[in-house]
Amino acid sequence: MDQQQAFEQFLDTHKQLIVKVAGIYCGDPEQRKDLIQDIILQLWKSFPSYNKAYALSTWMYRIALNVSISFLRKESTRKKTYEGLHQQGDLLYYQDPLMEERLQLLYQHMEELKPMEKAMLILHLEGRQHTEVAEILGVTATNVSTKIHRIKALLKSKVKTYTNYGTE
Amino acid sequence: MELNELTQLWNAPGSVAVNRQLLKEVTLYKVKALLYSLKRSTYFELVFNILFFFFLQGFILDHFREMRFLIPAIILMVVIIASTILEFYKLHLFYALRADSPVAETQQKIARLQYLEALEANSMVAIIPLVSAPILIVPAKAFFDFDLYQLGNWIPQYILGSVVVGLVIAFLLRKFPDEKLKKALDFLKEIKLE
Repeated sequence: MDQQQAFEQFLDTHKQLIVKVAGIYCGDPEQRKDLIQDIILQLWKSFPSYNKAYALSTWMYRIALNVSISFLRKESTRKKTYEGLHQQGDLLYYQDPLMEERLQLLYQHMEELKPMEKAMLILHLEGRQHTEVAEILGVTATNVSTKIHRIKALLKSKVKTYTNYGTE
Repeated sequence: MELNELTQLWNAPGSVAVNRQLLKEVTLYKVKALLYSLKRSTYFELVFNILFFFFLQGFILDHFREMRFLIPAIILMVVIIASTILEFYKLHLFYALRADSPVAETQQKIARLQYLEALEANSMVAIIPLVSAPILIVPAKAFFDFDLYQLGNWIPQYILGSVVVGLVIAFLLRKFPDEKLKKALDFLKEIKLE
């Protein structure tokens, strides 16, 4: 199997995660497409130098999160890079619009979180252990536990506020 | 919504398709993907600084005993050295950026780069008055062998004018703070998770 095929296979396995991560960090649908392209391009660029000392998932999460968090900081260069690509469609797209709608709801709940908190929540939702989250993000496991606890409380309070508004 | 509901939503099956034709085309070409784009001006500044450093070095050696030219040249030299160190540090941060490094580490480097760029722009407030007179005196002497001190008492007034300009810029920056600098600082604070 050549590198191109290996990458295609890798992308096929993780495509849904890439779309979901992009959705969390980018509310605007057009910009989200750019972000997805950006993540894939960076994954492809880093693919030959993948260090087998790390789990493939750790490597992929790091790239997807780093690109997402950095994404909105470099608007001008991004526009130039993707002008041509957009005419040929998107690299990844949802075939099921209902799924996209349901995910929008989830994104709304995460909107107020800070970039690193979003990253922690994504990894938590993915079912990653706190030690792995710590390794991906470069923080301590204790820190991850504390933050996740705080994020849970925040989400709970948000729901309460929302419910109170609804019943008043 | 509780976390378990979020988890259910997050893990609900969805069908995402890969545009294989486009992927093939994209991966055939050299990939343009950067976490952070360093402005070309950094390289130009660096080249200019190095050339100016050697020019100043020669000027200082030639006018070592003439305090009136030595002091302005030393002021310029200090500014050039500080600026060169900053440019090299920026390049070091830029080339040390790796997309597959831990997120906090990579983002810290990016935020630091942004902070330095914004800080560099803001530091002009202090640098403008400091170099305003030396930047005229030294080249005038070096290239035209003209002594600007002969033109009378213009230097104090000129520096005072530059200070006023600097203060006005400082006031405006305080009144309308640099968003980029603020964001970078906020982000550095945020990723300092401990």
